[in-house]
Amino acid sequence: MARIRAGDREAEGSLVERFGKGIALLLDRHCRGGDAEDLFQDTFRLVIEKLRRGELRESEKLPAFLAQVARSLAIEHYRKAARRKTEPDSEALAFVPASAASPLTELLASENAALARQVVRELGTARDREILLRFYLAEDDKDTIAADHGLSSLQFNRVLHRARQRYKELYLARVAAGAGRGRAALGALVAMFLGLVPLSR
Amino acid sequence: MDHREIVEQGWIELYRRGQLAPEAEVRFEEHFLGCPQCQQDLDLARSFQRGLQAMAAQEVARAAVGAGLAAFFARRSRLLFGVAALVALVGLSAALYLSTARNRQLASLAGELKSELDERELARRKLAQELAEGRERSERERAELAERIATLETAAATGRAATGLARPQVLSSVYLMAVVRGEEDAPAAIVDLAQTAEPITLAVPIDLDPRIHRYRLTLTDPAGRVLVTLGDLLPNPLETLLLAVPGASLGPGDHLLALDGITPDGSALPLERYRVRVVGRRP
Repeated sequence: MARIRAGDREAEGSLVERFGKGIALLLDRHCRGGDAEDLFQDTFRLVIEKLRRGELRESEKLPAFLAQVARSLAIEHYRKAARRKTEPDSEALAFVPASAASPLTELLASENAALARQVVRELGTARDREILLRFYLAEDDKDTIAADHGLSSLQFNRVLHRARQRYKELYLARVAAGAGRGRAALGALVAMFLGLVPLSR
Repeated sequence: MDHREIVEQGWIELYRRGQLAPEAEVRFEEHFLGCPQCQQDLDLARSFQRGLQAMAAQEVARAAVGAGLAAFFARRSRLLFGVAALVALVGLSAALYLSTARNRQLASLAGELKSELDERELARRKLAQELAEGRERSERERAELAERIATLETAAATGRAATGLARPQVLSSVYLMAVVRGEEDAPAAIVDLAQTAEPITLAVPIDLDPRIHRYRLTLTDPAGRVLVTLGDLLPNPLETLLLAVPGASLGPGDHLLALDGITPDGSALPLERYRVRVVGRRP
């Protein structure tokens, strides 16, 4: 914090590196759509400005400070949005092209869907599948689902835990495979750049 | 705030669904900002839900395409619908036929695999039985041999007691046939006639093999003439065969001592070949 107060850019980078993922998750919980990305930058800009001005001196309070700033920005953002809200013109909206996701985003979503499908397929019983889909898709209340199936809270948590663990394994395996593919692609690119492999055959 | 509490109370999911009390939510956010484990769990939970949502969206899209096609055909004339229905019927029949043919093929393949497995199992049992019999026979022969040795030792002791001899009657030079790995061309033993006692005993170590019923030793001179052949041999309790030859029968040069195994059906399996180099002369 002292280094940030002294204007050290490297220290500011370290702050973002250390708390960036947590803040992104926090904003993801409080925001919708692409708002989280904008507010992520605003959060760190504001926090760094305050640190430069010396508004916080106890380093142990930094996580709470960051969380507070991010929450406040999110609340303020939606308060302003609510004030600006008007009735949509449905005819005009019909001619507005839908914002298309990038090919990479689509690919990742598709891969993610395949992982989720595999998890659902591998679940032992139809009951487990129903529990999972009601909980994550229909967002039914946990107690209601558990009561419908005559499950205790512990048994219910076990079903979710098993599914999440399996998803975690598949997800990490995909990340590892992706890293391998990335390395191979980079190797091919370097080889091409050095003239070891012709650009086209 | 510790992880046990977070896991047991299911805080990750409660937080994501906005079901934590405001105060608890603030505490949890302050915790996970400095906790990589919670961040990973949150990230995975989020990713998992999005994966399920994407999966559901794909299913809905597929269903919508199916419904769209059905509506398209419904709007067309009866003739077109009839043609489409006919095409669908032909396609379905073909699919059914292919499916049946494929099933038949798979069933036949499964049958072949099963019979091959049965045959292998039969062969395995037969081999296991032969092995067990071989072991049993070997044990029996070992016991017989031990009994014979005991009998001979008793007789020898009795003889010694009767004649009053307290030392061996025969002084022999024993040469152990040993081949050093990587030096197979080197002689297994060098017999110096000037320094050996009579008779010269060649000791051949045996690696017991259940396939072998008896052993055979053959000694040939440097010119290839057979000096002695002993068949129907069994190793002693030290798993060694001993061949005693008079020194006078050996001339200078490399002799060959061949060890063969005899199987129960009488065929011979070459096991080892040793070179025995004879040097010097009898004084």
